[in-house]
Amino acid sequence: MAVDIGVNTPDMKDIGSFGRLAHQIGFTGIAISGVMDQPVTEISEGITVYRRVNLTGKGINSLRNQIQRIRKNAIIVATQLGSIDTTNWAVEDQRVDLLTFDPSKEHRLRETTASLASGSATSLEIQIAPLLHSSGLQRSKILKTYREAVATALDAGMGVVLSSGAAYPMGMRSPVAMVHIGLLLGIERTLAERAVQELPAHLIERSMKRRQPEFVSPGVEILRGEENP
Amino acid sequence: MRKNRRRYLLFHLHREGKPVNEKHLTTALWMSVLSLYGEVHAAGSRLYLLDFDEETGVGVLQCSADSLQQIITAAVVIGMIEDTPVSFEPKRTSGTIKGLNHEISRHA
Repeated sequence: MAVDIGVNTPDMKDIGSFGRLAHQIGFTGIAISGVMDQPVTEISEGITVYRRVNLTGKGINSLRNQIQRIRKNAIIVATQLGSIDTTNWAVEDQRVDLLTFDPSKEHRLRETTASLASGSATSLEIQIAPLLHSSGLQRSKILKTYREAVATALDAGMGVVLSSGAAYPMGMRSPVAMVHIGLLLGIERTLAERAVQELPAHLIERSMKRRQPEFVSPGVEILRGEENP
Repeated sequence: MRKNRRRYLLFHLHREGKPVNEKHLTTALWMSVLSLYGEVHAAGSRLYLLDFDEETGVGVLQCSADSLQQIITAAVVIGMIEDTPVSFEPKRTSGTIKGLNHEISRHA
């Protein structure tokens, strides 16, 4: 089961096109930010579409309010790498699934942030879109930033997830192609395969489990006896 | 002296819009290898596009075994060929063209 958890489309109409290509290239699901109302939707192309929310607030209070509001209706919750205070607070919160970052901005992943994220199972998301839209020196700088972030995350035991970050269908790449981009970023083959095939699916599974009424907190759930054996 | 081993790669070039012709694809592949890995690596890659169906987007390319990984990566990061957005999907690799024949007929 491979899921591309980083599709960005502003228009509901595009979901069919994304779904068709996703099916052709070997994905079973995609997570889309921005346009969906339902947390999970099955589309005719045989693809499951999950709702993703990117937290956008600058301060801790703003992020806290947003998470409380959206967590139940979103399968993937991501926050962008920003100031130390807010980033460290966000990665420690178990309701946040992903820490993503814009390579064109100055913020870099710190070892301390990666360690905190590792403890709360928040993964680093690397979106490949900037690599497809750049060349030469600009791409070289993006590669450097991504490689450093990946190395910091892996050293601290933080999970790394690869996603397309696609704003149009052809911005998606097949799982095998994504593994090759992982190798380009200095990730070992087994970890690159995990970053594409296993970890995104695990995040989805974890989130789906949270939505069940029996769920209390990670590792704790209500078990019923005779009434519901 | 050890003979340079070859590898064959079956791929599918997905596209949105007008078909991409063989010449433009070859140029895009070379330019991407050159940009990502440099002149020395591009020269040693022994990259050839053996077959490409412009309509279906299915094709086979040949390269040296040592550079296969880099050739695939360079192809994967191609986003646009002659104003046509594309997505390169590596399907299967083999040491002989015969080894790909079954897959080629399946995708034709």
